[in-house]
Amino acid sequence: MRTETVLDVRDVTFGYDAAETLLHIDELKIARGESVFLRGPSGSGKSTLLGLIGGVLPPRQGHISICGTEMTGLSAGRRDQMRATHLGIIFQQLNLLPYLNILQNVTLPCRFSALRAKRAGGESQAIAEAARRLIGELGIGEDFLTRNVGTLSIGQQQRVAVARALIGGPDLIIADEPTSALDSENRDRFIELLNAQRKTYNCSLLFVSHDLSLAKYFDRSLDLPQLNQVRAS
Amino acid sequence: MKLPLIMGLALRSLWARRTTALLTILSIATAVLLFMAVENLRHSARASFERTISGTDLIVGARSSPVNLVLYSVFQIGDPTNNITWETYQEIEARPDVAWAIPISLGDTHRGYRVVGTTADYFERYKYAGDRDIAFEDGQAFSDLFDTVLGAQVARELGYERGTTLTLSHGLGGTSFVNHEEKPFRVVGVLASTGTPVDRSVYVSVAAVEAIHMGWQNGTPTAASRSVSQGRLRALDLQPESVTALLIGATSKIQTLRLQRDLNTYAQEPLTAVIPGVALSQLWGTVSIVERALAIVSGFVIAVGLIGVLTSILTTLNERRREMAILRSVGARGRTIVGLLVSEAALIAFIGAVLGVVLLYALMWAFSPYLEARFSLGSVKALPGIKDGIVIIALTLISGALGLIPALIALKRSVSDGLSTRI
Repeated sequence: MRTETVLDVRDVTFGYDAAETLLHIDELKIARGESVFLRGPSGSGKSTLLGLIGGVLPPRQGHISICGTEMTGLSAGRRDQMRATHLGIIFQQLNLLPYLNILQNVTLPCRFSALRAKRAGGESQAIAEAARRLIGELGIGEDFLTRNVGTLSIGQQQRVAVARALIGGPDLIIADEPTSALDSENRDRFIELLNAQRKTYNCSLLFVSHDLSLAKYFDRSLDLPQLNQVRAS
Repeated sequence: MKLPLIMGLALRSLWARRTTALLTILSIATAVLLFMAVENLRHSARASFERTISGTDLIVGARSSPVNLVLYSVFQIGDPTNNITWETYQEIEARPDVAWAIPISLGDTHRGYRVVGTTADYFERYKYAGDRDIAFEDGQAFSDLFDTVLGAQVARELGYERGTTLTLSHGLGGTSFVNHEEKPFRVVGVLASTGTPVDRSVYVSVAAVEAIHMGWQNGTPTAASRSVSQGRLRALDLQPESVTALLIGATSKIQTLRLQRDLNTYAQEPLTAVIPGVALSQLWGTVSIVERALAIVSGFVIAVGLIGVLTSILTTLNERRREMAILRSVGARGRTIVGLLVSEAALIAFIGAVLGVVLLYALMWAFSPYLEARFSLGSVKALPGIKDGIVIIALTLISGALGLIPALIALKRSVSDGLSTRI
């Protein structure tokens, strides 16, 4: 059974060496299906926070749990497994591997997580079908599936990245400034599309951006410089 | 670890960077080609060397170093220091512990090929490559005074055949100003190819060597010597005064060492008697310095190729940080990142090594007739063997191990980069 709290960050501190603390988050919770806007200008610790949530960086102290599983006690391999199973991640731009075609890019998370592969249909044909459906829902034609990444526009690439983040129904999507390379019209359409899809698949969303004007699209808005006790103090 | 997934990603990633990957593969292929070619030629040269002479228990010549004696009497290289008198030859042949003794008389050439004055027994007694006899591809041994038998390479390269007439030149150098033009020889036999110096020799009888120098004074022809006709020479008893060397077969192999000692302490004139196998080993010991130097150089070529693989991966690491971050974001473990880069290094080496081996055998297939004809390298390998497989596997494993260096750097960076895609 899926828990109601998808992400629970409590009293987490991080620093690359013992002498310096870069990040101290008292509490950050995201409920299932909730969308959260996190304003994070450059240098505010945004990348560090995403690394901690993704399990790539281990916190110095505190607790990070995803879907009820405490991440801090897990081995690096298990944290990688948790990320593969429960998270979908969208970057600013150039989200896709240039040497894989569109379909291969979208189905990639299912190659690293058996649970996501199972949720996407189990068999490779069913996974490919799920990818086709997602790409179709995001407005990309089926004839694009076997095309090279380079033949897509930036906007199309971001939509493919959304499809990749959504395949296999992850619990939380982390979007790291995904609209920074889009013009305002495409940006608004992209966020609306992303919100619609994550609602369809009942995923939570942590949307990180420096652009405060985007906060209106989300259930809740947080400010990382205020959230980070190191900066706040 | 999901090996098929990692190998698939590695192959696709290499294909996406195919120009640089191809250049690296070519550098590995060239290194392997050079390494294997040197190794192959080294072994072929050794095999060719070892099979040069067999069945002969002792080689006897005037006092000199054993290596020099073998060089001029068997390999047709270098000059004899002195001759052996005909009386000594007869005394040695008459010894009860000597089964047979064949004289060799050197001193003339034909268009750069050395002329060996000997007896028809030479073709019966001389063996090579174990117990292989010299065979006639065409014709037979000489019977007339002015008959000659040609080695396979001489006949092939000069386009001679049975019935061809030729004249000899005085001296062992490549160029001679004194020719025996008035006393031509007729080719009566052509030997089958042996892959030994026999192929590069022109054989005449010892009497013929005496005949063409009849009337010479101080190593130069005289007017009288030129006027002696071939018909008159045939009627003469042409016993030579000396010969250059002797090939000896002992009646008992056990007695060979005693016979050698006796001949090395021969009272009438200073002689050197060598056991061919021992002298060949000594000679190879000298030559093998070059062989070892070649092996070391070719080893360095392989090392340079492997460093090229490492460099090509290291130089792309920075621009591939985004690729690593994307892979990490979709759940790739640290060991997947390591496996990807190690696989790329191993794949480049594997493809390069296979290409190098294929090129090597293609070149050997194309050039083996030339190598056999020109250098008597008759044993160059025609088909890949286990050793080639071992080289390919070893190179793949070493390259994979070297790939750990960029892999661990990439892993460290992927952790510090976290889940942000930096360029």
